[in-house]
Amino acid sequence: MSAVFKTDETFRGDFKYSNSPAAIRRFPLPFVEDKYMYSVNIEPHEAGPKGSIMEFQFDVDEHYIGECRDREIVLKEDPLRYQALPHMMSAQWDVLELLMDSMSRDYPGQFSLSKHGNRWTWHNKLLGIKDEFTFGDPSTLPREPLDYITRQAQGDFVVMDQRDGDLYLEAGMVTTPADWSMDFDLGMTFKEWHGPVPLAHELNVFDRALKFLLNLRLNEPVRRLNWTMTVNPRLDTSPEFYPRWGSDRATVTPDNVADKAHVRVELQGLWRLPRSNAVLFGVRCYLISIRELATIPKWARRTHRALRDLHPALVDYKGLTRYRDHVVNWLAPLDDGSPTTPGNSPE
Amino acid sequence: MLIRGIKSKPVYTPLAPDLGGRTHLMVGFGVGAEPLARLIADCALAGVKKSSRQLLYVTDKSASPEMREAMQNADVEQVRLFSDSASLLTQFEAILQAATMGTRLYVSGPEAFMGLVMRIADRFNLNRDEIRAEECGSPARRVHCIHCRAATEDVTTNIVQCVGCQRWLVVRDHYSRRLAAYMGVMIDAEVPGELPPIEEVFV
Repeated sequence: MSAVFKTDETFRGDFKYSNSPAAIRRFPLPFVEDKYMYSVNIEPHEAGPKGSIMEFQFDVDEHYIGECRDREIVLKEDPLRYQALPHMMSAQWDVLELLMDSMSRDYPGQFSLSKHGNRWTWHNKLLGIKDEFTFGDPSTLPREPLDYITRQAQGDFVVMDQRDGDLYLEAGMVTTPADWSMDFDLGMTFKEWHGPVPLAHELNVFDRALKFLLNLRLNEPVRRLNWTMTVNPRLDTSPEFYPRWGSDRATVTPDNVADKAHVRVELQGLWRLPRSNAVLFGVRCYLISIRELATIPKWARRTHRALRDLHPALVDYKGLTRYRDHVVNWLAPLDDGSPTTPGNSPE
Repeated sequence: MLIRGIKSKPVYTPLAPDLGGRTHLMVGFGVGAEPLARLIADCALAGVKKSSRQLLYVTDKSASPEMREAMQNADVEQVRLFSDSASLLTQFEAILQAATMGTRLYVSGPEAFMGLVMRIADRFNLNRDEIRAEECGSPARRVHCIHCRAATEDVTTNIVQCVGCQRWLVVRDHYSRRLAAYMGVMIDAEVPGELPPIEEVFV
């Protein structure tokens, strides 16, 4: 894909962020039908159509530079957003290799990787980074391998160690969470980590998801979409900094809702890692304002219905209580009641 | 109260002698004396050697004088009594440092105390099947402030003021073994000063 990489986007303060018409059309609307409920909506992470966000394993888009910059700002203030337990070093190298191989293969104009035995040279042209290092020797990189590579990738990354029939959250870079704290959850089992999610436990979603992931195979990654809403295009909606962004929710009015309220979609990918047998969980985040989303007539109708009929427990869990009605009311005139075509494509 | 509904809180096997163990390390606080006294009697019945039994106990007023005396004179190789949990935990850590394979841990007391013991056990990689635990006494919570990372002890209310940053925190039903605490999140971040009624819930 031939994105023009924006150089001056911000995800805080003046919130200088927007989607180009091409970025809007490739936005992964999370509502595949007019009603939304949890499901184990896992599918193989296979190459999607050209230009789609699923064309490659790790999507790099027009927001890349701003997102990497925002991550640096978060880490400077709160270094514990990156953590790795000591036994996760082998998994760290696995992730570095997966990301470098994929990004350099899929975006050769932006990233390059050359390997001479264990001597690797990585060149990130978008961020102006070039480093030569010895694969497997952490002392040859300026930071731990997972820290190093995830500062140069969009989305959050969590690494789960597999043992005793469970997956333990034991490393990660999480600067764009939808209200969950890796620092708090570090070391937890799969179900402990997902403990606060309402309804899904009763639907056995996590039993089935865990069983599925324990059997995840090398070179057969999977993906799913998840979503929430965010006021302002803010990536760091962490509980740590909630005192800063919580008040945003009370600022939404009928007049500003179309520009303030954003649908936030997470493309969640899961990869088995080759040496460590750990599982990488990637959470790639896409933000779109209600005004941008409504430029696609099908999406305006679909989103209106899904939000209007959302289960009350999910309204609460996703933090929408204060402004959901404003969004629904703004979208209502755009919904003439006509049917929507199946799937989430723009039509 | 939602104790059973909390998915992140571990569930342990109640206290009973584990005959596969070679050292039986018993750790208790206050009212935890009662299950421990029962355990010690069961150990004797089951033929667990006295020389393999050790007891660490915080003498707290939540236990009756009879129970405290029972702990003092417990039928074990060595009894160590403490006046607060901090000094017990220091000693406990030192014992685990020197512990050998075959150590079985038995813990009894209020949940906040158990959490602190378990956190140390986790650091020494004791497996779940090497630990037996019985909760009794106060369900007061230890609360980790997600904003400033301070721990507020003995929380019995739904909302509590953080000892570190003074923010008012709502106590979420989400528990971290690594931090031995529940998550506390600012309650009035959306509209400052908008606090729901404060109620005694963990009592």
